[in-house]
Amino acid sequence: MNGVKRSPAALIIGLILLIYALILKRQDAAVTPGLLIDLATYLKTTKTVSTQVGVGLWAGIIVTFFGLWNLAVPAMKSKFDKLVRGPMAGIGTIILLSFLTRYYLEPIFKIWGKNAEKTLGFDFAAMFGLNYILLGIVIGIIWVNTIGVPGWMQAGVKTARLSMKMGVITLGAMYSLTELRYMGSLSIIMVAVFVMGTVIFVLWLGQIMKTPKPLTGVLSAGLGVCGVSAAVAASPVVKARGIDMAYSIGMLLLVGVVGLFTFPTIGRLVGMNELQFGAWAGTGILNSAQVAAAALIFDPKTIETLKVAEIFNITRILFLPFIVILLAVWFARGEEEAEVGKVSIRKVLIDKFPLFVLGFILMFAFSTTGVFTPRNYELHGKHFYNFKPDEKKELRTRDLKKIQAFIESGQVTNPEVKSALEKLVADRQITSTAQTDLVLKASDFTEDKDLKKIFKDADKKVQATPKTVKTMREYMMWFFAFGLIGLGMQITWQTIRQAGGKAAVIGVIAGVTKAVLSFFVCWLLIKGTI
Amino acid sequence: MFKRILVATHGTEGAKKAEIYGIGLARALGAELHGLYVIHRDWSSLVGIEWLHSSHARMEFYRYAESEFNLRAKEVLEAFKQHANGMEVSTAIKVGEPAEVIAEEAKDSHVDIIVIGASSTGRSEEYKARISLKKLIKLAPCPVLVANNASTIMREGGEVELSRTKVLETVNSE
Repeated sequence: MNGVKRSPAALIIGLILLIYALILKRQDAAVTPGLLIDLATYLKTTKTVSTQVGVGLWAGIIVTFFGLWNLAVPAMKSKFDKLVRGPMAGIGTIILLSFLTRYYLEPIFKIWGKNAEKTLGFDFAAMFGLNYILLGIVIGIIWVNTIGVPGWMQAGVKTARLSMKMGVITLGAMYSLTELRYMGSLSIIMVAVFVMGTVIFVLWLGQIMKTPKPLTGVLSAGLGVCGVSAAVAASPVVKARGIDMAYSIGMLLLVGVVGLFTFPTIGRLVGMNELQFGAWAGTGILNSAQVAAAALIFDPKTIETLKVAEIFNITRILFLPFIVILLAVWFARGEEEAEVGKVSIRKVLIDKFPLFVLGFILMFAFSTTGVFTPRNYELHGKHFYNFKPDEKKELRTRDLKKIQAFIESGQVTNPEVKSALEKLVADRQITSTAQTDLVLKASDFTEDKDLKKIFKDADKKVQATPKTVKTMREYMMWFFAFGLIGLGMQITWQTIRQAGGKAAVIGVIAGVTKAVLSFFVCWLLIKGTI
Repeated sequence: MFKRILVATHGTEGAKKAEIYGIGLARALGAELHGLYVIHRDWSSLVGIEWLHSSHARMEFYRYAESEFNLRAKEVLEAFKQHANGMEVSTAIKVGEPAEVIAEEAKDSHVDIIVIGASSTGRSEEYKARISLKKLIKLAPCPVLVANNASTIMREGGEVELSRTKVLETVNSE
């Protein structure tokens, strides 16, 4: 199998990465830029050159090192060889692919979209969200379904799962307590209603359509909770036959992929905000990997949508063990053989609890202690603040005078807001999170657009993202991009083609109903922002 | 001429025809029967995009699914043995790409002819039953007989009556 023989694959991929990074570095330093820099200028990616060189060099050195090792010493069956040396070639290839999509394909589509706007009437690249995440997934799908993933890449592709987990764990550091509390309670309500609703609906559909009980069970878990992952967890419990698993997993993959490609465009067309879309994707999209993908396709610049969607996702995952137990009880009912009742609740709860969720929670707990936020920085709402007095944060005298006049006009009826504004005039800048809320609130007391803008500026001036957080975000995006491209390479037509028979009918009915209902609930009922 | 006959079976309508032809041939020629069930290798990539379970939980699923596919294969082969009651039947379960595995098995167990069923138009209730005929003919070390939709009747006791017995006649006359 892969990695057991001497393979030059990792060395070749590593050298490509290295050579690319070195050429880019040379051209960047040279007075007369070369082809790559010209291209970057045309694609407007010159700002990313230093990241490209940095990531390319590091990845290149590591992959080349292991490539040499793989070539010199054949990989054995030890754990280290299997987990580190084997996957290197595939890991390098996916990194190359992310480079290609992130720094070349996405910018090209951006330019094409702008150019075509005059003829089409709309920017197709922006409309369909043709960013590097989507393009990466599409390339992955096309790759695996045409030439197929070669043996030397397979071990690397499988590390995508780990990368997704790392992404989610890192994301844990990005929430503030208020945010998590708000999103968490919203997600528990939404997920509880939709998970239970879909599970019951599918069990009922199965009864009318007279599908075999194991098939109905797998379908209800998959459609109700989290797609293929739920089907995997539920199959042994409901004694699914091989063909039941093939039917339902094929169908779940099909509905999930359709959702992945349609949700972001629909969300953009109706003008959903981050909270609405995140909640919709987190409820309506079947497979958990595709939830993250849809959120990043909808909004790759900020991570707000991803934050919402992932909270919904995790809530769903936490529901999974309970649904598995419920299905076990449902399946045992009316089944004469007593051996079915053997499912141990404790075992299901422990086995089906994904450890990375613990990592996510730990990371969040860490971040609330302020480990990742350097002194003077504070996470408040969705922004980081730094209130240390600084000339750059001060408002212009002209603007301060305007605020002074506003205070004196007596329009501000709220005494708290009034004193916050008075303090702002005295200090020339905002000094606390409580004050920033009150200053923003002052906008409600005036119709003056300039004044509103001044309040917003005062808030913006004290916003500052610490470097550690910026770096973590960048890493997180790499984890997700890597994971999603790798998982895209596992979406095979052979699997989807299995969808059929009554499973497909039930899947389409339940999947579409869930997507449509959750769309209206999110769009019409969720009014707040984060 | 044909001393050992490989019958690729899968529990589908087409495969049942192959069983009938295979058994009929073996009976007419006094040949041995070798029943083969191929589990399509695609089953192992079913859970491709699944990422959130621990490797332990995923392995548990693989083990479960593997035992399920094997169980079905055993059922089908058992039924095949029943049809060929009283005859010498060996069986094998293999995982892989159907055409490749059939050809390989034919080589390894030294059979003289391979009997497969024609693929039916409808969707079968069995996992991945289709065999690529083009591939099989290219790879097979011996002749391949495709049992098409000619009507066949299986009498009680396993005696087979074929309405289109040209194949058998040619075989017998040699």
